[in-house]
Amino acid sequence: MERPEAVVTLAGRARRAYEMARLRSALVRTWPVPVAAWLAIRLGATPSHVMALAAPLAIAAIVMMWKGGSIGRAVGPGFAAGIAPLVLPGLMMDCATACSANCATWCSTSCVVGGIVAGSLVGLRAARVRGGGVAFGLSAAAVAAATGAMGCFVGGAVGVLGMLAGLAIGAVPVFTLVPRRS
Amino acid sequence: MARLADGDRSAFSHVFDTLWPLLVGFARRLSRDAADAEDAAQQALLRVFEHAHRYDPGQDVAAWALAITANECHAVRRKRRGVPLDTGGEMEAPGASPEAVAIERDLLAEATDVLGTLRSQDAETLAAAWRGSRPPIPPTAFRKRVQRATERLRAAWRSRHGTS
Repeated sequence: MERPEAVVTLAGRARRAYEMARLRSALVRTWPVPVAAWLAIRLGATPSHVMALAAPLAIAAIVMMWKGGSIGRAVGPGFAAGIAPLVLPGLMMDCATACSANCATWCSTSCVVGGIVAGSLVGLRAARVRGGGVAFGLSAAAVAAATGAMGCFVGGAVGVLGMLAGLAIGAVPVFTLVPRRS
Repeated sequence: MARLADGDRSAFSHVFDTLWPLLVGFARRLSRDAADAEDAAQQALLRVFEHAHRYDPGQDVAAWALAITANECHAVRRKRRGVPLDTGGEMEAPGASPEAVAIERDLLAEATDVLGTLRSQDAETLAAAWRGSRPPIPPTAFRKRVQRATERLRAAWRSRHGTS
């Protein structure tokens, strides 16, 4: 049955209201990005590098949360998982400087360790998602990687690559081994 | 609604087609004035969709949407009262004292609140009866359902206020 003109117009307004509300909500829930950027800069990362990552991460997070579904739900856990590789390298650099150790080694190691922690958290959450969790896991891993990379820039490209490797090393076994929810 | 809250746009039409007749029927029942009812129902529907992303799947959709509609009916009435020479609506009838208007408004708000405590089937049955529509069941069965839902509404009211 065809809808009357007035109802079609109302449906259009309702749809716009729904989409705009989702967009506003997504904008508000992207607050961890500026906080993470500020933290990374405070811990010694180069501002230009951090901004080059934070801007696309913020846009991607907004789009993902606006779109919703499993990729939208993955953004929050992704941010949370990214905290470890975000802060560990900066803290380790401080420790290394204090004890006159080799900064580059400490930093790379902490990036890998942070990546493994983040990957394990992502894998654990993804395994608990009902009905699969691959899309959730990949989205959360991408957000965690971008968040963590802001901190791992302290160690240069080696630090970022180490963090990515750690993320994969942590996520894949946990995701594979943890019992699924049916 | 839970699917819409999760971002599944394919549920939009179904939610819209289910809610619109329910809200407009309920608003007509509350407002008496058809134009006011239409305005209130439209505003309520837009608010429901604005808040759809925050919808809690444990919540009763019908009761939630009807509560929003009742609020919008109040808002439309308040707006009308601000317009000079307005005589529309039962609450604004000439001779109605401000106390009577306030009492009726409070009663309506309480009734909507109590309605929200009913099971979803009861709330939907009452809403269907108020908007004058009947689900595809025999008239006798529907009458009995309405009767039972009304009794539960009275019981809920009594348990809260000690009087029917």
